[in-house]
Amino acid sequence: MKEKFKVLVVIPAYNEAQNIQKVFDELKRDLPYADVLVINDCSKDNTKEIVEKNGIKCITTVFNFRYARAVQTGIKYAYKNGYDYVIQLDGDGQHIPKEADKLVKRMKETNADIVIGSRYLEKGNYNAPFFRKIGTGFFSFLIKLACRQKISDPLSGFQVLNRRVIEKYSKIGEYPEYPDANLVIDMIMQGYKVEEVSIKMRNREFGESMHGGIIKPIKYMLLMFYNVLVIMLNNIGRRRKK
Amino acid sequence: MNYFFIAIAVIFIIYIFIVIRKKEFSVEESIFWVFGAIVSLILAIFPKLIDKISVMLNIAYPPSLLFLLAIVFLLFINFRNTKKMEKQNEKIIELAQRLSIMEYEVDKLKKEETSDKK
Repeated sequence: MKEKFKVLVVIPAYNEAQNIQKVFDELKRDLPYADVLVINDCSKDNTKEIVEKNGIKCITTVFNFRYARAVQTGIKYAYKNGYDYVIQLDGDGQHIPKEADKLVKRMKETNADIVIGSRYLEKGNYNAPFFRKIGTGFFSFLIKLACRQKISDPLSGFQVLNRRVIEKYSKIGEYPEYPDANLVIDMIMQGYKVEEVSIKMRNREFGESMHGGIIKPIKYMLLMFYNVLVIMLNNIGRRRKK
Repeated sequence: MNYFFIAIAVIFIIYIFIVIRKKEFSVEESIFWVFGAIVSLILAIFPKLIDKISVMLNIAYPPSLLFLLAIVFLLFINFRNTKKMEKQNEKIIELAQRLSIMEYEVDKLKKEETSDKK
């Protein structure tokens, strides 16, 4: 697919030396039209060297920003440099770069502001861990309740954002620690058009997921639930003001 | 009148002003602490006030009013501090993000410059 638009792939990476080379190889092969930017979030391994060896843009954070803020840094770079689309892609090799084409295509067809790559629209695309399945189902239900829209995979980090959203995200002061269901609900409630496309996803080969263990997912669920409640209240307030 | 508590309140007020003069504490920030100290000074000078207010608020055991006031005051200050900390955190991250992007851009420019010279 040839692109007239400026597209930036933003990859947040923390200790992804073992996974990231494969991602680059696929990006070069499957998305040659896109610029790639890695946000090296103070990795302790040689992620940075690998990125630079590949001649890829690499912003190294001054301290560990964690996932969300690392992504936001990339989005800010995209905004500053006039990119039309940002493709958010994880550096762990789970997201398949080729699938991004589908997301960009859908964005152009439907004029959506955000297109989410969903693992659950079709069965058999991805075998999710137990906690993730529960979380996804729960937040999907919440979104349906709050926005009357079906989003099957609100926890997906594989997304395409258009210029309008790039601008919005780069200016959010309190960018949430986990930008998942809460951000999706907030954006839909504020009138942004969110679409979903079915994608395939691989299971992680090396390294640890940021939602691993038992306590972390529970903390995540509680925090996210609270976050969603606050956003819903906020938006109800906003609507009344209008 | 309780001279011990009057002394503590007065010493505290003096201490706050010394710290302000040394510019270790902003005037805005000190106002709440001075207010707290003045309230305790008034209560130390007129302890019967505690009984009167307790009756007004339907508090059976007057000394508990003191604890209540202290807790409310500390909670207020704590909440304010948390809010301030959060704002500062935001600013630090915003700065760090800009710094990270700028560092990358400076490095890129330097590289371009050296390759141009060659």
